Amino acid sequence: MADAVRLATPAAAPEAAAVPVDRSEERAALVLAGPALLLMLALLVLPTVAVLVLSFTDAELGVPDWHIVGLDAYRDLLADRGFRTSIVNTALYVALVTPASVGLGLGLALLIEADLPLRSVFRSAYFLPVVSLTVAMATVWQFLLNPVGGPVNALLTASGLPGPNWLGSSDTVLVALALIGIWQTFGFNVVLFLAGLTAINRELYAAAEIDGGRSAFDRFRLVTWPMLGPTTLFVVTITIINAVKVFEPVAALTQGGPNKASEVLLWTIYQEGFVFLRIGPASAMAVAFVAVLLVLLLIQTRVMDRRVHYG
Amino acid sequence: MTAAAIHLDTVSKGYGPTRVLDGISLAIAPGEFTALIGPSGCGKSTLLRLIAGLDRPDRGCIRIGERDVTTVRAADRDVAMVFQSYALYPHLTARQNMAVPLVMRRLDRAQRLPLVGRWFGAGPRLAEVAREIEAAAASLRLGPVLDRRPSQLSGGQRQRVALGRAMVRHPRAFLMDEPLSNLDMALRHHMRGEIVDLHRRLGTTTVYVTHDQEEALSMADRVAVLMHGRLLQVGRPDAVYRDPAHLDVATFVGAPRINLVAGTIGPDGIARRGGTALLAGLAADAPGPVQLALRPEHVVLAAESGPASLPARVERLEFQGAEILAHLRLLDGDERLTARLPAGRPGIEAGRDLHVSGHDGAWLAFDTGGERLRPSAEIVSVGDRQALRHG
Repeated sequence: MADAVRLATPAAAPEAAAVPVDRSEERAALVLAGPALLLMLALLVLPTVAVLVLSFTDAELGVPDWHIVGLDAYRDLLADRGFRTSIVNTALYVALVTPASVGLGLGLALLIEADLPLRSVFRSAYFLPVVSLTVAMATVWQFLLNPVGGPVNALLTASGLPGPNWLGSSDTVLVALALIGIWQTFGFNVVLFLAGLTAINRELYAAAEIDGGRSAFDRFRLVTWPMLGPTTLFVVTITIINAVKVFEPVAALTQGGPNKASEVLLWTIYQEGFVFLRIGPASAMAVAFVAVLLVLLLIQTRVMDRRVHYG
Repeated sequence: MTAAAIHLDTVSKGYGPTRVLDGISLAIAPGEFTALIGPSGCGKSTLLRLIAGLDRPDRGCIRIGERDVTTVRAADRDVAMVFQSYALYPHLTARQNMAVPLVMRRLDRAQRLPLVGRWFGAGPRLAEVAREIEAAAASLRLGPVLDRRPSQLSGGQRQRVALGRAMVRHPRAFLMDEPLSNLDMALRHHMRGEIVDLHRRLGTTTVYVTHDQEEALSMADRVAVLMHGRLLQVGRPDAVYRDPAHLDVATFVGAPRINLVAGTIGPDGIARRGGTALLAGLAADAPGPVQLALRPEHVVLAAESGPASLPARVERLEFQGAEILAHLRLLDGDERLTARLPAGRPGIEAGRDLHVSGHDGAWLAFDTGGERLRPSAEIVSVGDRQALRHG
């Protein structure tokens, strides 16, 4: 912060170093930066600290006496079968959604970029699910996936395949939710990949062709894929983060059921905090949730970043 | 692979309504170093892309060696190209960059697969590729930096990696698209020499695109001047410089720029400025206005007026070491002239009025369309030769 303030003032010029520091300018800098600092403190730092503190307690909303339980809160969390199921389900959901959403995004971006007519029409069409309201669209999905008279199962039956009870069976509910998740996120990935593709130096493709890259696959491996590295890393990161944060379709369609088969992290936290009003354990879960995300992010930025930037 | 001839036959290319190239015909002999020059936007890079096969001509045909390659794709033409941005693959090391054209050509798709490629017999071929790269790298003095990525190389090293990638597979022709324009002045001069040496050693037909006429004149066996989508002149560098076929060629080639003086041509075939006859023996069938041109090094300055001299004032002197450039303005008009003189010539200083004439036979005449008007007779200049000769 101090560095930023110093850089922002002309006093940072080398010849001014010998001159005594201009106090009034420093004060002005503090006054100017003050409101933003206060807001950051009030809106970002304090809530985080509050959640961290609460996570070490057994606080419940409406119960006046609460105690500090320390790390026991986290021990209980790990022993809780419901929480463990919720972590496994979330991991499964992420594992289903991320590769499909990223792969679909890349594939469609490549198709659109390959001089397709109506390019902008496709681009906005694929982007529609991203801007649509999840809860509203959930009703459409409920209708589509309805085992009785739903179009999806009608189609499956017509082609001689068994139509599962998508949202009603514990075997298929995660897959069904993952399909909805893919549908909702891949459009954004298309747009991100398109931006990445347009930034690739055209001369590299010319060089690949001259060097004997005859097939589209050769040029993809030699130029497109390595050049898209930073974009792909970013797309994978935000797709994972968004998948970990899955909540609305669960709340609207399955409420964690049947039989906890679609219990995911955010839904469990929501239940704990807002239905059972147990603030302490809910905070502990929230902290665990953020910790998982942070670890994922760290791995990506530290390990992968070095492999996709060629500077 | 032996060097191949390149033939262009009335090649035309346009993008939408704009005509970029208009009926270009050019024959390049096997092993020849040809420079394509012209101002930016003249179509020279487009022409190179047509030869490479990266674009298709709208009309006309292109032959490389005996083969008509007009519709053959770039990957199958067996030519190598060096790009202005070098177009090195940034994720690959110098060694891997140079290996790409060999790996692409000598290994089939299964052998090129990462990790499992060796099961399909990639091993021995890769060893052979590695040996050839070592040899090419040694000749380009790239040995110590072979395992660095392009971002860790200097401009000159990147340039040499790009050259290495082009030469390892011994193509039928080298195509170079302004390969030196991203280098600083000193390095550019050095790399000129390296490219010319490389060409002499390998003897590969080379087409070299540049907007830098000095680069073209100093490197090429032949120079082709391209302007507004047309080839204005093709010839040896000294011929293009001394005997330009078109006014645009005369003004584009040579620095400082050739001096231009407006004049008229009379029915007697003598070109005059005011009352002063500058050039005789021109075809007299088209009397009218004419552009007279004189290279700066052919300008003769004298204190006394002569029969073929024009009065001018020295406005500014520019010291250049071994020589000076004198910037003059004609007293009877607005034209500015530049004279290139040995440094230390007495009697030339700013503000003085002098008399300008040209060396024997040095004036060139162009009609209003820019076409060269050539003297038909033996007499190529008028005036007191004795006075001109000592200048």
